[in-house]
Order: sequence, then structure tokens, then C-alpha cells
Amino acid sequence: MNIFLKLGKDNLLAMRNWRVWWHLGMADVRNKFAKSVVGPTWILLNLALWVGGIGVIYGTLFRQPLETFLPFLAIGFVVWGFMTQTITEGGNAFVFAEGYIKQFTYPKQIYILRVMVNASVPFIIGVGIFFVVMLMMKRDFGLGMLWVLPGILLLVLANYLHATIMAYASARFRDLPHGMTALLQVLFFVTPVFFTVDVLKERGLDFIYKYNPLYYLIEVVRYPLTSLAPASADVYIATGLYILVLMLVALFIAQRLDKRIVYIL
Amino acid sequence: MTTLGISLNQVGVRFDVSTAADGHTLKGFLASLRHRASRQRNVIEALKSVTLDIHAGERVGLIGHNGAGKSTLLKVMAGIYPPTSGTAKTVGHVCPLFEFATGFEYNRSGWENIRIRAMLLGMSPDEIEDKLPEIAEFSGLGNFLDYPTRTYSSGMFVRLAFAVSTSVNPEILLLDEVMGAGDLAFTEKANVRMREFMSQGKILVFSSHSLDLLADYCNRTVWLDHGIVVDDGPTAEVVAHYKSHALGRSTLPAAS
Repeated sequence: MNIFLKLGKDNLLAMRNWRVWWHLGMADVRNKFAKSVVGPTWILLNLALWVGGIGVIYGTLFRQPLETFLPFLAIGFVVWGFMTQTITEGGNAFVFAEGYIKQFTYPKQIYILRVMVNASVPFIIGVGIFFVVMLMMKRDFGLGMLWVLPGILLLVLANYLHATIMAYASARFRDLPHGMTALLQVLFFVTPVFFTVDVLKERGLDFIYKYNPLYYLIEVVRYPLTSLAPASADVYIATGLYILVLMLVALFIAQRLDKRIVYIL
Repeated sequence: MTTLGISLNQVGVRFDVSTAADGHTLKGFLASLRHRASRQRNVIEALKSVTLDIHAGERVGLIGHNGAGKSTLLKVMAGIYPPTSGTAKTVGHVCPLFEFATGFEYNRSGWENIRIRAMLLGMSPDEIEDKLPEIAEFSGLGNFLDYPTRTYSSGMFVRLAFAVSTSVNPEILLLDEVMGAGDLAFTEKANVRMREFMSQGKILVFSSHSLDLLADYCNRTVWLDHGIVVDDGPTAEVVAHYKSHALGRSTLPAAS
């Protein structure tokens, strides 16, 4: 059978069996907070500490009004967390599922979708917290916020592709998740998460965000929520192009490694 | 072919068992790109052009010494190992039961592991909740089902895995040397269930070192050695042939 046809079929079959990955992913979330006193509230505390601590310090440093800066920071951090979690945990998707992959015949994409479920929980809680921050800062809400929906769709698609690439490539190259963790730490400081693009523009450092695809993935979600309007067209174009590139890379890697995964695990 | 069956045609499986030194790490890989010629590949041929056809109602035993390729062959039949040469086709709902101490969530209870395994074998959540008491009953694990599976012994893993795998009512049951680890009482129960299963005209493929079990269950036996089918025929004949060689193991017959 044609390998591309098989990959398409596997992806569809995996998605159709949503109960399996939903169950595995939710069980992972529960397991993560097992025996923890505070439990999933850690997600909330983590974000509160971040927004409170960094927000006040950098808001002052960059001379940003807190009522715009705190919600900006909150949603940026939430999206960033979603992206990094799918990348790093995606790298372990197949490695950790070795016992299942070698015993059961479900398509491997089940284990990538499991990571997506696992990472979506803090994301959804985080978006909720963003709205709380907006309320606390007495910011306006509007229908323009609905533009976030296509943004989230694009973000989820990109994250799924990131996770797919990482899952396949990391099964072959076990150094990759470590390398990506290190790289993401650096990327965090050069991606406009805790500073705005205006800060960069003023200093003539536009290139830092212009050539950074992760910036666009944040912006398609952040801009509609904070500005109540769609992001500019070039943001959507850049995001679309990046997703197209990711698709090609994911296809290339998956067709090279799909048959070999079970042997190299 | 749309009827229940397993059809292997010239199936070969090669494992790459290269280690870090010969290009398995990123560093090694990058180095190997520069000296393509010197790239060392350490390859094991686990199966060599195996051709087998198994039809509905057949109960096939697999014998051969350790490392002969029995487990690999079962995994090819299950569709877990894609053959590296030749073609493999399996028609029917397969239920594999392999390496019994992997594929468990060690920090979760026996109950939760039953649910996960049943789901991965294709049961719907409603079906699982319906069958949960029956599976638990059959496993005979009692209170142990409340404990995390990291506390289980290998016999307990087998009980749990066997109970789940046979409750999905598969068309093709693939068992890899699992009966040995259960205790006497469980083996009795498992026997009863295996006979039930066999009476339904489905396919069973079963690897074992116990020649008595093979004689009991299987009407056909395949003898594998170094990934080659040495003999294939009625169990009594193949077992007799195997015995005569296994005892005076000096030479192997030429592969047919």
C-alpha cells in the first residue's frame, strides 16, 4: 500500500477512535496530579505567579500599562505553554508508548493525540484564567474576540504537526527532546511572550519576531482576544505558510520512519 | 481474500540492531553522513522468506528454540511488525497477547489497566463497563485489582492480560508463550476458555515450549529455526520430528 495513503488512513482511523486517546490523555492529566495536595489548581497557581510576578516587574520595566500588559502576558504564556508541552511531550509520545505499540495494532497517531489531550487541559484552564484577568482589569469584551476560534484551530493544527514530527524523529534520535527543551528555553526569550512587538520595533529589532514562526502562532490567538479584532492578514498568511511547511516536513519524516518505528523503539 | 485468514508470502524481517558507535545517535548519524561507505549496519534476520497460509478453524502451534523467530512471526501476523520483505495479510479481528509485563500503566490500578487494554483491543466504553465484572471474575485477582499494577507478579499480569484479551471475543487469537506463567488454578480456567474459543471455528496461533500443550490445542504445528520454517504439518508429526532433533541437536535439516 502506498505509504502516504497509509498515513492518511492511520490519521483518520486514530481520530475516529477518539475515546481511546481521550481516555489515555485524561488519565495522564489525572496521573500528573496524583497524590498532589493542590492538584490541577497548580495550573492556576503557576499562571497567577507568572502574571503577578513577571507582569508587575516587566510591566514597570517596559513602562506598560498593567491593564493591557497583564492580559497580554497571561494569554501569551498560556499559548507558549501549550506549544512547548506538545513539542516536548510529543517527543516522548512513541517512546513512552513502546509497550502499547509493540502489543496493540492501533495506529500510532493515537499516542500523539493522547499528548494533545494532555496538553489541552492546561491550555483550556489558562484561557479561562485569561478572561478572569480581563475582568479584573476591567477590560472590554466584544464579538471580535470570536476571531480567536480560527486562531485556536490553526494553533492546534500546528501543535499536532509539531508533536508528530517530534514523535517520529525522537524515536529515531533520542537526543532530540533534550535538544528541543534547551532550544525552547532560548526561544522563549526571543519570542514576544513577555514583551510586546512595539518594544522591539522602537529599538529596531523587528527581525526578532518577523522571522519567528512561533510569534505568529501566538498572535493568531492573542490578538483577537486582546484587541477584539482579527490579526492582520500577513499574520494569517505567515501562519498558513508555516503550517504548510510543517505538513511537508511531517509527511517526509513519517513516510521515512513509519514502518521502522516499532523496530527502533 | 475477504474470509478469515492469515496469509504470509515470502515474509522477511530484518532488525537493525546497530548501536551508538555505528550511527544510531544524532552524533553518530552526522558522522556517518560524512563517511557513508564506512557506515556499519548490524542487522539480524529474524525471519527469512516465511510462507504460510492459515485458514479459519485452524489452531496452529509454533515451536522452535529461543530466538528462532516465533515471537517475531506472531507480531507480523498481528500487523505490529511490518515485514521488511514479502507481504503479510491478516483478515479478521486480531487479539494479540504478547510480552505480558509491558503495556501496563504501573501507577494505576488493575481496574484502570483493564479499561485501557480493553480499549486498545477495540472495545467501546459501554462494552467495557458491561464486561468489567466478568473480566475481573475471570482474572481471579480480587482485591489486587484495587492496587497499582507495579505491585503485580508476572503471573498476575498474565491473568489480567489473558482475561481481557479473551473477553473481546476475537476472530484471531495470537498467544506468545503466556500459559506457562499462570498458576495451576488459572491454567485450568484458561484451558476451558481456550476450548470455548476453539470450538467457534476461529484462528488460534500459539507459541509454546510445552509440547503437551501443543498436542492438546493445535491441529497443525510450524517449527521455526533461525527464522526459517523447518517443518509444517500435523502436530504429532512435527513434534516427533522436532523431538528427534532437539534431543540430538547437532545438525539442522536443510530448509525446504
